[in-house]
Amino acid sequence: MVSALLGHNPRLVPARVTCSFKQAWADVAKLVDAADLKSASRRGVRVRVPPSAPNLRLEVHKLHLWRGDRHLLRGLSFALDPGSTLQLLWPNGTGKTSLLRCLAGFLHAEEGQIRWGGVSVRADRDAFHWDMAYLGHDTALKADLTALENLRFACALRVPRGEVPLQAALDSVGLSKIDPRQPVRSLSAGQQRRVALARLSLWDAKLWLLDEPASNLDAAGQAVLEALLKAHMESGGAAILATHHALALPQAHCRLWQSPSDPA
Amino acid sequence: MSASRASTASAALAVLRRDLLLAVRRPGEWLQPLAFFVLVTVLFPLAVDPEPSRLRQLAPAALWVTLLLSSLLALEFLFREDRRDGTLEQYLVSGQSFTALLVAKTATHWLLTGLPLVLVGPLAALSLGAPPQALPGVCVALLLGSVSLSLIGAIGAGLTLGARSGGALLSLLVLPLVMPVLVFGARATQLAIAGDEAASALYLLAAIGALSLTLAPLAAAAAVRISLE
Repeated sequence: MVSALLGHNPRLVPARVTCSFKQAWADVAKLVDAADLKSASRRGVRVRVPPSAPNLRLEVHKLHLWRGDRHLLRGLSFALDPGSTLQLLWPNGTGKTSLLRCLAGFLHAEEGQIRWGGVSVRADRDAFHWDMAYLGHDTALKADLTALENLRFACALRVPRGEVPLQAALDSVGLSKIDPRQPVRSLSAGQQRRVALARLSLWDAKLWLLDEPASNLDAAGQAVLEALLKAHMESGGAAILATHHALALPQAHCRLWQSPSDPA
Repeated sequence: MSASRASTASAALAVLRRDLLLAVRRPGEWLQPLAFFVLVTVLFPLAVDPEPSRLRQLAPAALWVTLLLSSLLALEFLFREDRRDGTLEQYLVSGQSFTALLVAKTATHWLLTGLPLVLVGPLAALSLGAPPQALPGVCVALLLGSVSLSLIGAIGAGLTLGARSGGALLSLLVLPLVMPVLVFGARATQLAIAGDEAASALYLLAAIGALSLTLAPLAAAAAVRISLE
């Protein structure tokens, strides 16, 4: 939240005024979340899980979601352990995207609990967002900037300044041969998707929420995606994918979920 | 919970820098309102009897209504592209303060569309018959007014993001909200042109600016959040 500005940069302000500033920022931060008063009041009493917590588990308990008049998700419950992947293969219109958007925090479930590492994500949404990366239908790339400029900006949002291996990330998704001055606009849809995947690998998030990550990708691109996911899982990351064609991932840690009415 | 995170300040700076870079690559968006402002203020003397005293009477109204309309024209671009390509969604889940990132966006928007109007404003005032000694007052009024217009306009831009014909709705929403800016801005300009003390109206303009600086970003962030649902 806003307090991060001062909390993580003690050099910005002399020690004497830090305290009152911090207080003021904390108040502002509460106002920012005025739409979600509950979370503001809970923030004071939340229990923080230390970074080395062995079990950053995602637990969804009895989730109910309505879209307009439609009762889309009816009491959905599942859990996802670190290092494992869940592939949603539900039919069209049954709420794959809505579930992912709900987990990411764009939609608010009418009922139910989402817990990350034992803490409700509503209680500390920012901490959850730090651990999470979302890739939706839109790639969030700026068409007028080059692939490298897009990656540089994406990293500036999340990763502290320093040497980030941007070019290496592009190489790893098979885009080493594109002209560095070429704007993203002139890349093909599949190449743009690859840039988005490179961004994902740079963010160092523990939980990936991917909506149709393989769309527009050719066979080689799909292999790149599978390799990225494998590496992510091996480093202890978890992922939920909404997809129509199951990706080839290590079966021991990958569950396929065919329909929302099946138990997870 | 990653061990190291980018600070909110550096993230907001990154947003500012990237939007400026985008503006350099695609100058049409921010040149358009400026051209509109210049053209309309040039049209006024043509349409009205070019008697200097009468023009001078009309100058405050002409300046401020034109400023209002050109900043409305620019507001449409504020969040539209970022909403279309999914960037706003990424801001929301970046773990950074959404409000701070939107403030950075609004600040860039003001730098690109508000500040040029403030710089061109004195020239337009001269062409409308304002005496040179009135220009500092006019300039300060335009500066304070345009900041408020950008900040308050951001609320409207956020609310109309999801709407299909956002432009018309945006004007209907924003125009009533910015009436005080128009009233005090025009009054300050009028006083400055008449050679009177404009401080009282300028103070009120500054008060509106301070109020919108503190409250409008929160409202704008809430509005954008709703439109992303």
